[in-house]
Amino acid sequence: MNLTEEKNRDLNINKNENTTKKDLKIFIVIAAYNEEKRIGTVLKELTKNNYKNIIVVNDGSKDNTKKIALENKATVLTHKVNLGQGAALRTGIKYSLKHGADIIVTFDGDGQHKASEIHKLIHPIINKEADVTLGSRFLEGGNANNIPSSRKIILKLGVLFTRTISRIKVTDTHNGFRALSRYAAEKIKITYNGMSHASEILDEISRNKLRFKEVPVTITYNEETIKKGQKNFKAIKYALDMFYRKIVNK
Amino acid sequence: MELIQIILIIAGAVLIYITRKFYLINKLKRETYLIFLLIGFMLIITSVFPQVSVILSNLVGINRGTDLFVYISIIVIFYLIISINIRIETLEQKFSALIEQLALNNPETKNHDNSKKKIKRKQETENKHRK
Repeated sequence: MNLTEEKNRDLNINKNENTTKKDLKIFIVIAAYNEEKRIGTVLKELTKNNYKNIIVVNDGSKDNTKKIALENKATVLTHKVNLGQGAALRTGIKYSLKHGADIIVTFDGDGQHKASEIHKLIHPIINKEADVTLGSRFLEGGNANNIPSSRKIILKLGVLFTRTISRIKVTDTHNGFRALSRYAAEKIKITYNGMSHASEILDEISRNKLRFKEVPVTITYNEETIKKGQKNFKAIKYALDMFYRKIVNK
Repeated sequence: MELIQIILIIAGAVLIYITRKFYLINKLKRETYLIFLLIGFMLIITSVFPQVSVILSNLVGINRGTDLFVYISIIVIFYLIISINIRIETLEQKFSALIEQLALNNPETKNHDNSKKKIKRKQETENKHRK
Protein backbone atom coordinates (compact mmCIF):
# COMPACT_ATOMS: atom_id res chain seq x y z
CA MET A 1 0.00 0.00 0.00
CA ASN A 2 1.43 3.41 -0.95
CA LEU A 3 1.59 6.45 1.31
CA THR A 4 -1.33 8.33 -0.28
CA GLU A 5 -3.58 5.36 0.09
CA GLU A 6 -2.62 4.99 3.74
CA LYS A 7 -3.37 8.69 4.25
CA ASN A 8 -6.79 8.32 2.57
CA ARG A 9 -7.63 5.43 4.85
CA ASP A 10 -7.23 7.67 7.91
CA LEU A 11 -8.66 10.87 6.46
CA ASN A 12 -11.84 9.13 5.49
CA ILE A 13 -12.62 8.12 8.98
CA ASN A 14 -10.84 10.18 11.61
CA LYS A 15 -11.05 13.81 10.69
CA ASN A 16 -9.06 14.77 13.74
CA GLU A 17 -7.62 13.15 16.81
CA ASN A 18 -10.71 13.76 18.94
CA THR A 19 -13.31 12.45 16.53
CA THR A 20 -16.31 10.99 18.30
CA LYS A 21 -19.36 9.05 17.15
CA LYS A 22 -21.31 12.33 16.92
CA ASP A 23 -18.90 13.83 14.37
CA LEU A 24 -19.23 10.90 12.02
CA LYS A 25 -21.88 10.17 9.46
CA ILE A 26 -23.00 6.65 10.32
CA PHE A 27 -25.30 5.02 7.78
CA ILE A 28 -27.32 1.91 8.59
CA VAL A 29 -28.14 -0.15 5.50
CA ILE A 30 -30.99 -2.66 5.77
CA ALA A 31 -31.88 -5.04 2.96
CA ALA A 32 -35.58 -5.84 3.31
CA TYR A 33 -37.79 -8.29 1.48
CA ASN A 34 -41.35 -8.76 2.74
CA GLU A 35 -40.48 -7.59 6.26
CA GLU A 36 -43.67 -5.69 7.14
CA LYS A 37 -44.11 -7.64 10.38
CA ARG A 38 -40.62 -6.94 11.73
CA ILE A 39 -39.13 -3.86 10.06
CA GLY A 40 -41.13 -1.36 12.15
CA THR A 41 -39.71 -2.63 15.44
CA VAL A 42 -36.18 -2.74 13.98
CA LEU A 43 -36.39 0.87 12.79
CA LYS A 44 -37.88 2.10 16.07
CA GLU A 45 -35.02 0.42 17.92
CA LEU A 46 -32.46 2.11 15.65
CA THR A 47 -34.07 5.54 16.07
CA LYS A 48 -34.17 5.02 19.83
CA ASN A 49 -30.40 4.48 19.68
CA ASN A 50 -29.98 7.83 17.84
CA TYR A 51 -29.16 6.53 14.38
CA LYS A 52 -30.53 8.99 11.87
CA ASN A 53 -29.23 7.88 8.50
CA ILE A 54 -31.18 4.67 8.02
CA ILE A 55 -31.39 3.31 4.48
CA VAL A 56 -33.90 0.56 3.80
CA VAL A 57 -33.46 -1.12 0.45
CA ASN A 58 -36.89 -2.50 -0.30
CA ASP A 59 -35.90 -5.44 -2.47
CA GLY A 60 -39.07 -5.99 -4.50
CA SER A 61 -41.31 -6.57 -1.47
CA LYS A 62 -44.93 -7.38 -2.17
CA ASP A 63 -46.18 -6.28 1.24
CA ASN A 64 -46.16 -2.99 3.19
CA THR A 65 -42.41 -2.95 3.95
CA LYS A 66 -41.90 0.33 2.10
CA LYS A 67 -44.85 2.08 3.77
CA ILE A 68 -43.76 1.04 7.25
CA ALA A 69 -40.13 2.02 6.58
CA LEU A 70 -41.23 5.48 5.39
CA GLU A 71 -43.46 5.90 8.45
CA ASN A 72 -40.42 5.16 10.62
CA LYS A 73 -38.31 7.95 9.07
CA ALA A 74 -36.08 5.74 6.95
CA THR A 75 -34.89 6.58 3.46
CA VAL A 76 -36.26 3.92 1.14
CA LEU A 77 -34.62 2.78 -2.08
CA THR A 78 -36.85 0.43 -4.02
CA HIS A 79 -35.75 -2.41 -6.27
CA LYS A 80 -38.69 -2.92 -8.62
CA VAL A 81 -37.99 -6.64 -8.64
CA ASN A 82 -36.41 -8.91 -6.04
CA LEU A 83 -32.67 -9.22 -6.75
CA GLY A 84 -31.38 -10.64 -3.49
CA GLN A 85 -29.64 -9.46 -0.33
CA GLY A 86 -26.26 -8.93 -2.00
CA ALA A 87 -27.72 -6.58 -4.61
CA ALA A 88 -29.75 -4.73 -1.98
CA LEU A 89 -26.65 -4.12 0.16
CA ARG A 90 -24.70 -2.99 -2.93
CA THR A 91 -27.41 -0.39 -3.67
CA GLY A 92 -27.53 0.75 -0.04
CA ILE A 93 -23.74 1.05 0.22
CA LYS A 94 -23.53 3.00 -3.07
CA TYR A 95 -26.20 5.42 -1.82
CA SER A 96 -24.47 5.84 1.54
CA LEU A 97 -21.11 6.57 -0.08
CA LYS A 98 -22.73 9.10 -2.40
CA HIS A 99 -24.20 10.87 0.64
CA GLY A 100 -20.94 11.14 2.53
CA ALA A 101 -21.05 8.16 4.89
CA ASP A 102 -17.99 7.75 7.13
CA ILE A 103 -19.10 4.37 8.47
CA ILE A 104 -21.64 1.99 6.95
CA VAL A 105 -23.32 -0.65 9.10
CA THR A 106 -25.16 -3.53 7.43
CA PHE A 107 -28.07 -4.63 9.57
CA ASP A 108 -30.80 -7.25 9.17
CA GLY A 109 -34.39 -6.16 8.83
CA ASP A 110 -35.87 -9.15 10.64
CA GLY A 111 -34.93 -8.25 14.19
CA GLN A 112 -32.07 -10.72 14.54
CA HIS A 113 -29.57 -7.98 15.38
CA LYS A 114 -29.46 -5.60 18.32
CA ALA A 115 -29.29 -1.87 17.57
CA SER A 116 -27.69 -1.34 20.99
CA GLU A 117 -24.65 -3.33 19.82
CA ILE A 118 -23.83 -1.07 16.86
CA HIS A 119 -21.62 1.18 18.99
CA LYS A 120 -19.57 -1.87 19.94
CA LEU A 121 -19.17 -2.76 16.28
CA ILE A 122 -18.07 0.67 15.07
CA HIS A 123 -15.73 1.34 17.99
CA PRO A 124 -12.64 -0.35 16.44
CA ILE A 125 -13.18 1.63 13.21
CA ILE A 126 -13.38 4.95 15.06
CA ASN A 127 -10.25 3.98 16.99
CA LYS A 128 -8.36 3.27 13.73
CA GLU A 129 -7.91 -0.37 14.73
CA ALA A 130 -9.81 -1.77 11.76
CA ASP A 131 -11.30 -0.93 8.36
CA VAL A 132 -14.01 -3.55 8.73
CA THR A 133 -15.64 -5.10 11.78
CA LEU A 134 -17.56 -8.34 11.58
CA GLY A 135 -20.16 -9.41 14.07
CA SER A 136 -19.59 -12.92 15.42
CA ARG A 137 -22.10 -15.00 17.31
CA PHE A 138 -19.53 -17.68 18.05
CA LEU A 139 -16.82 -15.49 19.55
CA GLU A 140 -16.49 -15.39 23.34
CA GLY A 141 -19.06 -12.90 24.56
CA GLY A 142 -21.24 -13.41 21.48
CA ASN A 143 -24.51 -15.27 21.53
CA ALA A 144 -26.87 -17.07 19.19
CA ASN A 145 -30.22 -17.29 20.95
CA ASN A 146 -32.47 -20.19 19.91
CA ILE A 147 -30.22 -21.23 17.04
CA PRO A 148 -31.29 -24.61 15.57
CA SER A 149 -28.53 -27.20 15.83
CA SER A 150 -28.64 -27.97 12.09
CA ARG A 151 -28.03 -24.27 11.34
CA LYS A 152 -25.16 -24.23 13.80
CA ILE A 153 -23.47 -27.17 12.06
CA ILE A 154 -23.92 -25.57 8.62
CA LEU A 155 -22.48 -22.27 9.86
CA LYS A 156 -19.48 -24.02 11.40
CA LEU A 157 -18.85 -25.84 8.11
CA GLY A 158 -19.16 -22.48 6.36
CA VAL A 159 -16.42 -21.09 8.63
CA LEU A 160 -14.15 -23.99 7.73
CA PHE A 161 -14.86 -23.55 4.02
CA THR A 162 -14.22 -19.79 4.10
CA ARG A 163 -10.99 -20.25 6.02
CA THR A 164 -9.76 -22.54 3.25
CA ILE A 165 -11.09 -20.66 0.22
CA SER A 166 -10.67 -17.01 1.29
CA ARG A 167 -7.72 -17.61 3.60
CA ILE A 168 -9.24 -15.39 6.24
CA LYS A 169 -9.49 -16.45 9.87
CA VAL A 170 -13.00 -15.78 11.11
CA THR A 171 -15.26 -17.49 13.59
CA ASP A 172 -18.54 -16.61 11.85
CA THR A 173 -19.15 -16.30 8.11
CA HIS A 174 -22.77 -15.63 7.23
CA ASN A 175 -23.41 -12.91 9.76
CA GLY A 176 -25.03 -9.84 8.21
CA PHE A 177 -24.09 -7.58 11.12
CA ARG A 178 -20.93 -5.76 10.03
CA ALA A 179 -19.47 -2.26 9.81
CA LEU A 180 -17.34 -0.81 7.03
CA SER A 181 -15.26 2.33 7.07
CA ARG A 182 -15.69 4.53 4.01
CA TYR A 183 -12.30 3.34 2.78
CA ALA A 184 -13.34 -0.31 3.05
CA ALA A 185 -16.77 0.28 1.48
CA GLU A 186 -15.09 1.87 -1.53
CA LYS A 187 -12.72 -1.08 -1.87
CA ILE A 188 -15.16 -3.96 -1.41
CA LYS A 189 -16.97 -4.92 -4.60
CA ILE A 190 -20.06 -7.08 -4.17
CA THR A 191 -20.90 -8.92 -7.38
CA TYR A 192 -23.17 -11.65 -6.05
CA ASN A 193 -26.83 -10.68 -5.92
CA GLY A 194 -27.81 -13.47 -3.56
CA MET A 195 -26.64 -14.74 -0.19
CA SER A 196 -23.16 -15.68 -1.46
CA HIS A 197 -22.23 -12.00 -1.01
CA ALA A 198 -21.40 -12.78 2.64
CA SER A 199 -18.52 -15.05 1.61
CA GLU A 200 -17.57 -12.62 -1.15
CA ILE A 201 -17.18 -9.76 1.35
CA LEU A 202 -14.72 -11.90 3.34
CA ASP A 203 -12.91 -12.69 0.12
CA GLU A 204 -12.72 -8.98 -0.72
CA ILE A 205 -11.37 -8.15 2.74
CA SER A 206 -8.59 -10.66 2.16
CA ARG A 207 -7.94 -9.55 -1.45
CA ASN A 208 -7.76 -5.83 -0.56
CA LYS A 209 -5.71 -6.55 2.58
CA LEU A 210 -8.18 -4.65 4.75
CA ARG A 211 -7.72 -4.62 8.50
CA PHE A 212 -10.60 -6.47 10.09
CA LYS A 213 -11.73 -7.30 13.57
CA GLU A 214 -14.42 -9.61 14.84
CA VAL A 215 -16.75 -8.30 17.51
CA PRO A 216 -18.97 -10.57 19.62
CA VAL A 217 -22.65 -9.89 18.96
CA THR A 218 -25.99 -11.43 19.86
CA ILE A 219 -28.16 -12.95 17.15
CA THR A 220 -31.71 -13.78 18.12
CA TYR A 221 -33.58 -16.43 16.20
CA ASN A 222 -37.31 -16.93 16.35
CA GLU A 223 -39.68 -19.20 14.42
CA GLU A 224 -40.41 -16.60 11.76
CA THR A 225 -36.80 -15.67 11.07
CA ILE A 226 -35.81 -19.33 10.85
CA LYS A 227 -38.63 -20.01 8.40
CA LYS A 228 -37.77 -16.95 6.30
CA GLY A 229 -33.99 -17.30 6.55
CA GLN A 230 -31.55 -19.29 4.44
CA LYS A 231 -32.36 -22.92 3.85
CA ASN A 232 -29.62 -25.25 5.00
CA PHE A 233 -29.33 -27.05 1.64
CA LYS A 234 -28.66 -23.71 -0.06
CA ALA A 235 -25.32 -23.60 1.76
CA ILE A 236 -24.05 -26.15 -0.76
CA LYS A 237 -25.07 -23.83 -3.60
CA TYR A 238 -23.23 -20.89 -2.02
CA ALA A 239 -20.12 -23.00 -1.54
CA LEU A 240 -20.25 -24.15 -5.17
CA ASP A 241 -20.78 -20.55 -6.32
CA MET A 242 -17.65 -19.41 -4.49
CA PHE A 243 -15.66 -22.37 -5.68
CA TYR A 244 -16.70 -21.81 -9.32
CA ARG A 245 -15.81 -18.10 -9.14
CA LYS A 246 -12.42 -18.92 -7.61
CA ILE A 247 -11.61 -21.27 -10.48
CA VAL A 248 -12.92 -18.90 -13.19
CA ASN A 249 -11.12 -15.87 -11.71
CA LYS A 250 -7.86 -17.74 -11.56
CA MET B 1 -32.89 -47.45 -47.05
CA GLU B 2 -33.84 -48.02 -43.40
CA LEU B 3 -36.49 -45.89 -41.63
CA ILE B 4 -33.91 -44.45 -39.19
CA GLN B 5 -31.85 -43.18 -42.14
CA ILE B 6 -34.89 -41.32 -43.52
CA ILE B 7 -35.64 -39.83 -40.06
CA LEU B 8 -32.03 -38.66 -39.68
CA ILE B 9 -32.00 -37.11 -43.15
CA ILE B 10 -35.19 -35.18 -42.36
CA ALA B 11 -33.78 -34.15 -38.95
CA GLY B 12 -30.58 -32.89 -40.62
CA ALA B 13 -32.52 -30.92 -43.22
CA VAL B 14 -34.80 -29.35 -40.56
CA LEU B 15 -31.77 -28.43 -38.45
CA ILE B 16 -30.07 -26.70 -41.40
CA TYR B 17 -33.29 -24.89 -42.34
CA ILE B 18 -34.02 -23.62 -38.81
CA THR B 19 -30.47 -22.51 -38.01
CA ARG B 20 -30.17 -20.71 -41.35
CA LYS B 21 -33.48 -18.93 -40.70
CA PHE B 22 -32.32 -17.76 -37.25
CA TYR B 23 -28.89 -16.76 -38.57
CA LEU B 24 -30.40 -14.63 -41.33
CA ILE B 25 -32.47 -12.62 -38.84
CA ASN B 26 -29.38 -12.17 -36.62
CA LYS B 27 -30.64 -14.35 -33.79
CA LEU B 28 -27.70 -16.73 -33.93
CA LYS B 29 -23.98 -16.13 -33.66
CA ARG B 30 -21.81 -17.06 -36.66
CA GLU B 31 -19.88 -19.73 -34.70
CA THR B 32 -23.05 -21.39 -33.39
CA TYR B 33 -24.57 -21.28 -36.87
CA LEU B 34 -21.51 -23.00 -38.36
CA ILE B 35 -21.55 -25.71 -35.67
CA PHE B 36 -25.23 -26.51 -36.28
CA LEU B 37 -24.72 -26.41 -40.05
CA LEU B 38 -21.87 -28.91 -39.73
CA ILE B 39 -24.00 -31.19 -37.53
CA GLY B 40 -26.89 -31.02 -40.01
CA PHE B 41 -24.72 -31.89 -43.00
CA MET B 42 -22.95 -34.65 -41.09
CA LEU B 43 -26.33 -36.16 -40.19
CA ILE B 44 -27.40 -36.22 -43.84
CA ILE B 45 -24.06 -37.49 -45.20
CA THR B 46 -23.68 -40.27 -42.63
CA SER B 47 -27.32 -41.33 -43.10
CA VAL B 48 -26.94 -41.62 -46.87
CA PHE B 49 -23.44 -43.14 -46.66
CA PRO B 50 -23.22 -44.96 -43.29
CA GLN B 51 -19.68 -46.12 -44.06
CA VAL B 52 -18.48 -42.47 -43.76
CA SER B 53 -19.15 -42.50 -40.00
CA VAL B 54 -17.14 -45.72 -39.65
CA ILE B 55 -14.20 -44.20 -41.58
CA LEU B 56 -14.35 -41.01 -39.48
CA SER B 57 -14.57 -42.89 -36.16
CA ASN B 58 -11.67 -45.15 -37.13
CA LEU B 59 -9.65 -42.04 -37.96
CA VAL B 60 -9.96 -40.77 -34.36
CA GLY B 61 -9.54 -44.21 -32.82
CA ILE B 62 -13.19 -45.05 -32.01
CA ASN B 63 -14.59 -48.39 -33.15
CA ARG B 64 -18.22 -47.56 -33.83
CA GLY B 65 -19.66 -44.65 -35.82
CA THR B 66 -22.54 -44.14 -33.37
CA ASP B 67 -20.05 -43.75 -30.49
CA LEU B 68 -18.38 -40.92 -32.37
CA PHE B 69 -21.76 -39.17 -32.64
CA VAL B 70 -22.44 -39.61 -28.94
CA TYR B 71 -19.04 -38.09 -28.03
CA ILE B 72 -19.50 -35.17 -30.42
CA SER B 73 -23.03 -34.56 -29.08
CA ILE B 74 -21.75 -34.41 -25.49
CA ILE B 75 -19.09 -31.85 -26.46
CA VAL B 76 -21.63 -29.73 -28.35
CA ILE B 77 -24.14 -29.87 -25.47
CA PHE B 78 -21.42 -28.79 -23.00
CA TYR B 79 -20.46 -25.89 -25.24
CA LEU B 80 -24.08 -24.80 -25.50
CA ILE B 81 -24.70 -25.03 -21.76
CA ILE B 82 -21.61 -22.95 -20.97
CA SER B 83 -22.39 -20.29 -23.59
CA ILE B 84 -26.02 -20.05 -22.43
CA ASN B 85 -24.82 -19.73 -18.82
CA ILE B 86 -22.45 -16.91 -19.72
CA ARG B 87 -25.21 -15.13 -21.63
CA ILE B 88 -27.65 -15.44 -18.73
CA GLU B 89 -25.06 -14.13 -16.27
CA THR B 90 -24.27 -11.14 -18.49
CA LEU B 91 -27.97 -10.34 -18.86
CA GLU B 92 -28.47 -10.71 -15.11
CA GLN B 93 -25.65 -8.24 -14.44
CA LYS B 94 -27.11 -5.69 -16.86
CA PHE B 95 -30.57 -6.17 -15.40
CA SER B 96 -29.32 -5.73 -11.82
CA ALA B 97 -27.43 -2.56 -12.76
CA LEU B 98 -30.60 -1.13 -14.28
CA ILE B 99 -32.76 -1.95 -11.25
CA GLU B 100 -30.10 -0.53 -8.90
CA GLN B 101 -29.80 2.69 -10.89
CA LEU B 102 -33.57 3.14 -10.80
CA ALA B 103 -33.53 2.68 -7.03
CA LEU B 104 -30.64 5.12 -6.56
CA ASN B 105 -32.33 7.75 -8.72
CA ASN B 106 -35.56 7.61 -6.71
CA PRO B 107 -34.83 7.68 -2.97
CA GLU B 108 -37.97 8.18 -0.92
CA THR B 109 -38.46 9.66 2.52
CA LYS B 110 -41.57 10.68 4.38
CA ASN B 111 -40.35 14.32 4.39
CA HIS B 112 -39.61 14.09 0.71
CA ASP B 113 -43.19 13.01 0.09
CA ASN B 114 -44.47 15.88 2.23
CA SER B 115 -42.30 18.38 0.38
CA LYS B 116 -43.75 17.13 -2.90
CA LYS B 117 -47.24 17.69 -1.54
CA LYS B 118 -46.23 21.16 -0.32
CA ILE B 119 -44.93 22.07 -3.78
CA LYS B 120 -48.20 20.85 -5.32
CA ARG B 121 -50.24 22.89 -2.85
CA LYS B 122 -48.08 25.97 -3.54
CA GLN B 123 -48.57 25.58 -7.26
CA GLU B 124 -52.32 25.19 -6.79
CA THR B 125 -52.61 28.35 -4.67
CA GLU B 126 -50.46 30.27 -7.18
CA ASN B 127 -52.72 29.16 -10.00
CA LYS B 128 -55.78 30.27 -8.00
CA HIS B 129 -54.23 33.72 -7.46
CA ARG B 130 -53.47 34.05 -11.13
CA LYS B 131 -57.07 33.26 -12.02
